[in-house]
Amino acid sequence: MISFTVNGKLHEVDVEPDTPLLWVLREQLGLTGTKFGCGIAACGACTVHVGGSAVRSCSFAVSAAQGLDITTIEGLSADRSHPLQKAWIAEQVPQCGYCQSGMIMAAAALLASVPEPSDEQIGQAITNICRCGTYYRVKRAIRRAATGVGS
Amino acid sequence: MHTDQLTRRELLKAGGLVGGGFLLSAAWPVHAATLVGPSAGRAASGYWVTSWVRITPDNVVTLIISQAEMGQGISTTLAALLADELGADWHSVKLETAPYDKAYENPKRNWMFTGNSESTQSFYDQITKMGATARYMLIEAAAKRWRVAPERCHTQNSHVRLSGSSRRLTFGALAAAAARLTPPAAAPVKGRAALKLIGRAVPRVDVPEKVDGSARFGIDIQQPGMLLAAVRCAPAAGGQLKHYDEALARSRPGVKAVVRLPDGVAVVADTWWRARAALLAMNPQFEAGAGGSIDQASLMDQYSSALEHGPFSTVVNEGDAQALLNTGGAAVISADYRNPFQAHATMEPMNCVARVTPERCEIWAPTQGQELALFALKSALGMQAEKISVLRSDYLGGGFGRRLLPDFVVQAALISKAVGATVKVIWDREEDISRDSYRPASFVRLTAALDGQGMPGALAARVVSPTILLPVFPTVQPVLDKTGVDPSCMEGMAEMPYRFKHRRVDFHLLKTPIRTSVMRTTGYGPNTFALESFVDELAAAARIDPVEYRRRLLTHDPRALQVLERAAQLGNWGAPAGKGAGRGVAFSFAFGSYLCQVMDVEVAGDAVKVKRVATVVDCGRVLDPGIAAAGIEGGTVFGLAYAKSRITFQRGAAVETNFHRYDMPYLAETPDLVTEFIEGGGELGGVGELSPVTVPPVLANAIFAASGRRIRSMPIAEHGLHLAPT
Amino acid sequence: MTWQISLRALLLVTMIYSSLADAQASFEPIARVLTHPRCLNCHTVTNYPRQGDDRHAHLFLVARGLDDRGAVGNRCGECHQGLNQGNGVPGASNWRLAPLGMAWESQPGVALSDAALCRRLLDQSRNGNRSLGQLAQHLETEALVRWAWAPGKNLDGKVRESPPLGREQFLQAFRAWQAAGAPCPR
Repeated sequence: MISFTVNGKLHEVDVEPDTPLLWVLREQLGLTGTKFGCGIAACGACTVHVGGSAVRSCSFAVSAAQGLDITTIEGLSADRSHPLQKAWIAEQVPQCGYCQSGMIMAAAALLASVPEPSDEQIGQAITNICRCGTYYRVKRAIRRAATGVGS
Repeated sequence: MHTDQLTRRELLKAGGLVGGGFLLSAAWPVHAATLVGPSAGRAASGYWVTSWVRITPDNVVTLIISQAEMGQGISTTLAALLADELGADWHSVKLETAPYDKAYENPKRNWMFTGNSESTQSFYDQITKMGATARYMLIEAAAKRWRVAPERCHTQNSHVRLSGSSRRLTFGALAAAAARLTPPAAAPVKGRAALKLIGRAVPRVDVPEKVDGSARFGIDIQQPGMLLAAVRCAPAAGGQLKHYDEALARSRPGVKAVVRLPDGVAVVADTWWRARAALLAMNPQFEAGAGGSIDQASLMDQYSSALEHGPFSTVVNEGDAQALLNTGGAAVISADYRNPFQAHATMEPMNCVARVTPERCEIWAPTQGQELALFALKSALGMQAEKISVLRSDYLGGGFGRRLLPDFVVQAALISKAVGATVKVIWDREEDISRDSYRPASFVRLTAALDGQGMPGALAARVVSPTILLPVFPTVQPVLDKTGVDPSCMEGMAEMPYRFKHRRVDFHLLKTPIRTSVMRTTGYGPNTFALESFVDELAAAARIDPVEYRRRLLTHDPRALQVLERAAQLGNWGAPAGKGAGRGVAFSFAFGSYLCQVMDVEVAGDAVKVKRVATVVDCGRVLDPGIAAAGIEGGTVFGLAYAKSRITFQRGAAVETNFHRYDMPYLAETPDLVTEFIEGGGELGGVGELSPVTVPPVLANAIFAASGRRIRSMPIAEHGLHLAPT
Repeated sequence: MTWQISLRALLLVTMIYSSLADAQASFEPIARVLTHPRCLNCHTVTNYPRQGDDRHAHLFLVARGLDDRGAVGNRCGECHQGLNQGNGVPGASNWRLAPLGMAWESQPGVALSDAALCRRLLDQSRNGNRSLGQLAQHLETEALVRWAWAPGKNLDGKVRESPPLGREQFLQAFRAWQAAGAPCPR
């Protein structure tokens, strides 16, 4: 049995220890906001926070989650009130939306470390793949959330 | 915003409408909404439902959306159009995803699908009429109740109001009465000026769900008792399953079944991870079959040979291009351009939920092509249409044309049938790319004869490509057989924005076992790469500025000129570029819209920084400037992907089966984007796949301006170049 | 006597020559391990890690960052965990780049000569202030070093190649070199 906290709630799961955290979240815990895009940590759609740090959950064995605190997109706020979520809505960032959970979680981790990142820092930090190409608005939304404009 | 689909299906069933379409009044246009009375089966009486609108006594207006929402914003715009014309309260309107039904077919094609950037063009009139008709009947019902002339009433925020009075009635209160009225032959429509939502940037209805993880894609669908399946099918075109260790798979945790497929194998388990782990352990082996001898070199040889020797079908033969070009001489310029294979690689990989019993087939899928899926299922299962339901997930994680195809739907149905349970099939990324139907490579040869002013009097084009249309519109087979021409492969070439006195276009339909199909930009993209690169080369040969050259080629088209001029302004054309910097231009008329892009790049060694892209679009009319701008911005990045990567083949199979090889553009590589729209007043044109059309040529032209290097094929990596963070 | 002096001189020269050759010989296998891609990919002089036997720049815009653990918001630990993953992503405890002071390249893509590598290894101002004994300890206990001999499968499913000496042989060679006074080749 492996136990860990997700969005403040304690869970115990009985799965093969090398099951990626991504699939435990989606299948055993029913939290489908975190997405599967590539399975090799190349695209970032599966990004969650483990102990406050961004992690690509497709490449994180659930056994390593023992005793840790995990936050998924569902836990970022109760009501879309995280500054990034508000900024994402204000800037109308998402198109198909599939990559956006991971994108927002990556951005949240960035802002937690660097409250006002430069464009260069944003570029180095956000390497999530968005096939719809929303990058231009992602940048705008991150800047908006960072400076607290309109939040 | 999305209500329970089961409830809606119950309602439709109660009204006797499932699968059989709706009662149509002779006075109504085909596929337009019709009205039914109260349902016998409901305790709460007096609701009003058509195929597109449901109004319940509590004054909730539900709009049922036919088109697949895959990021292009259509669910917002079509709903806004309907709500606007009807006078519904946009803030309390609910949306539902339409099942397959004739009522939802694209009225121009009599086929239910989402694609080809034509949803707004195709549905605009129909939706306007439906909204106007429903408005008329609600007003008529209110006017009767108030005993006033209908002209004194108007609708607003889901109410009918009596002008100059505080009297009002909710739609909900009027619904039953309105449902009993005879629909008018032609209800008056509001007209542009009276619309409050259309023409403005409406906050998208899907955005809030997409920022908190609550948006449900196909891959997120849950059905009771559902099992999960991972599949592996032959990666090479025409390949066959040779061997797999079934006993090993069955011994793994959670595995319920192993199902043999026509050209592969599926493992079914209680979770997808367990299914996939067992699949990998099972190590299915394939023999390559007919496609096994195909590799990149042999493919390119086949294309080159076809480009040289044909045979060709002549699509355009105006004047006598051949004669002029045969005179030879220094004034004849010829160049060959190559577009590579590309994968759709939607961020959400292919997936589908199926429940097949002897009596019914139920599908929940992120599909762009509900009707084609239905047809394919009929055939694959030997079942009548009435027994098959194809429900679309609320959202698709990207489409780009891939999800028009029914293959992943049929596969899920066959697996469900084999195991006798509801099954969700998910393709891992390797399967998703291996089993794509690719945007095929195309080779284009362009030849022009320049006159004394350096302008091209004659143009000849040869295009070599496999079909892209056949898999998504099987009815095109007789056309292919008879003419040897795929009409979609000729987009942007058979008709081009420029006029030539003498013009010839020849096409060779390449035969290959590699699966090919339509992908975002259809034929326009590959043809425009060739044409816009070539026009630039002609301009260089004539020593004329590339914008000026196009100006001279577009004198017959004021709308085109307006777009070109504004793009040149917006793009700072003519302003000095720094060392290693260059500016390119590309123009196109595609999907009924004009667009022009001006791109700034910096080239240092093999690193290409794309600094800025200015885009001007004339799509006739902009229904939603916010959504339209987003579509152009995002499409520009999608176009950069066409310039950055490609799919190659070895032993008949795609090599780049995940993102470590199929390299996508990153945020850091994204340029500054400036976008403007001109309302040229023409017919509504498409926006959804517009901007990727001009990106590869504008990039090639900008690289030429910056470095003097002319590249005639994509991706830029073929030329030792790579995108660098800006 | 002149012939005695000459003999002694000859013996001295021979001893020096052979100990030089010995120094070369005893460090050489260590250098072959340290400059193998499994080690050199992280002991790189570039501001990005390297990957693969062809030592290409790490994909996905990954950078060194200020603390050798990745750029802010794109940390090594975002993708690399304490163990190799089944999907081909490698892992070991405290996955990170070696600091620039411990880079073993003379320029991007070019390994230091054996002589330069040896000197760098022993330079306490660059090796984390380690004595020779502590260096030996480090090589024996550091998870990232251990990883080189259990590097797991890559994204194509192929087992990554390990350095040319087995781990035990390497440690033995190191101790032998240490015992010989850690002579550096010239």
